[in-house]
Amino acid sequence: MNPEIVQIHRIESLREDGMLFVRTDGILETMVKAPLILAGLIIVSLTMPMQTSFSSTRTLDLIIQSDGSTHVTSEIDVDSLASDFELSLFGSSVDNFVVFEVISGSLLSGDIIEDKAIVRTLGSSSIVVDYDIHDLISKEGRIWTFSFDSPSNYSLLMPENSVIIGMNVLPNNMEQIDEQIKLELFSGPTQIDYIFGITPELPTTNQPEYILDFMTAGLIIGSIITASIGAAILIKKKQSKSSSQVYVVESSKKQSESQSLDADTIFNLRPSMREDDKEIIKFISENGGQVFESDLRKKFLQPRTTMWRAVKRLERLDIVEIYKKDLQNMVKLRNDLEEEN
Amino acid sequence: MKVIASLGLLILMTSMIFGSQAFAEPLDNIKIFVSNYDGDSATVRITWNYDDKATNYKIGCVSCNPNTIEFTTGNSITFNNVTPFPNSSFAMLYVITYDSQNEITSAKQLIVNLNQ
Repeated sequence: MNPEIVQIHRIESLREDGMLFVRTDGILETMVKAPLILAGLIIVSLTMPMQTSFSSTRTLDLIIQSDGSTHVTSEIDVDSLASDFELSLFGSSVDNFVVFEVISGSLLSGDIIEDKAIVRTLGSSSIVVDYDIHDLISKEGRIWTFSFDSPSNYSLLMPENSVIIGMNVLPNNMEQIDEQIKLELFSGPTQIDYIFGITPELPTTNQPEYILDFMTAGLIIGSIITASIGAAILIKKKQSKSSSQVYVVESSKKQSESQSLDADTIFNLRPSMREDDKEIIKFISENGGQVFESDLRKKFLQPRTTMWRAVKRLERLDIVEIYKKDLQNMVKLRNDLEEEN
Repeated sequence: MKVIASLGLLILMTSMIFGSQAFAEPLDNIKIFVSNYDGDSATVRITWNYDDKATNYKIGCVSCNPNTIEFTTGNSITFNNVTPFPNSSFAMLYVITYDSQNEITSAKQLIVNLNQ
């Protein structure tokens, strides 16, 4: 089994003729294989971008709400072969998270873990993600700041009555939709400062006094004084007739105006109230009988919708009333709860 | 009783007369004049109605890069080199009024077509 060493000698005639001899027994096989390898390479190169296009953002639309939250809607292409899809959210304080399939519109389930969401795509190739987020907007004084580092181009709808006072980037496009401004922005970090245009107070009868001339001012003041004297005389006359009755009416009026119901009274009047609602009532009562809904959210660390439902529940029970103040919901304990029951 | 009724009527009429007077709201009447637009920038003059509560005005250009800000105590301002957003002829400006306590009392966004 000793290998035989064969000495190779150069053939001098080759050098002389300048001819090259090539081995031809494997050339046919090589010629067949080469196109196959090439075709394979082309297929691989074509499928690579297709694979990377899965789980890519197709559209991204943001709507800034007047309460400082941002509504995010995003259409995303996902890998239909994968059962789950991990989505990076734009923050960790997320509310109203909804995912549905684009074609059928059927809802998909998902779990949120901090700033990630695991969506069970169930073979879907395209999904729409919808949620509210509270991490993109901060407020200092009257100035609200939207800060966002977007992975893709996106549209941003500013809240109604807002006034943009600063932008660190220029938008690709801008359009005005009724009272709102819609911006088309490029990917990357964006910072937009805005304030809300203040609705001026309507002049009341007391306010325009300074623009009246002295004669009309004197006329008004004189008539008010005369009316007051007349009313005082009338009250005195009535008092002399039925002083005891007037006293009772006045005292009960004063009582209803000055005293707001305390929490315990409300609990007695509404014994079937939920425990978490009682905590809300207690907090409102401790804060002078009225608080902003946003303060309730901060106090009880509840999502916007949950707190809104709780407040609406209390409104239905006639315990609180809700009205707008500085574009926010003010929740106020009702004084007339006792009288209504 | 008649005296009181007539006095009440007098008060009611007085309040109706003076209550129905037209009051111009702050920044209710803003006028914008554009000149010297060369496709890149323009000169914009902004005037607004007098407001006795406002002591200071802040005017800014958001579409300008970098953003520009001017202050005035008067009722008008002239902005030079106002640039529109890219691929458009619209510029975005704003006016804010401040009272004597330096609190914002009103604000308005101005979308100005420079290609007038």
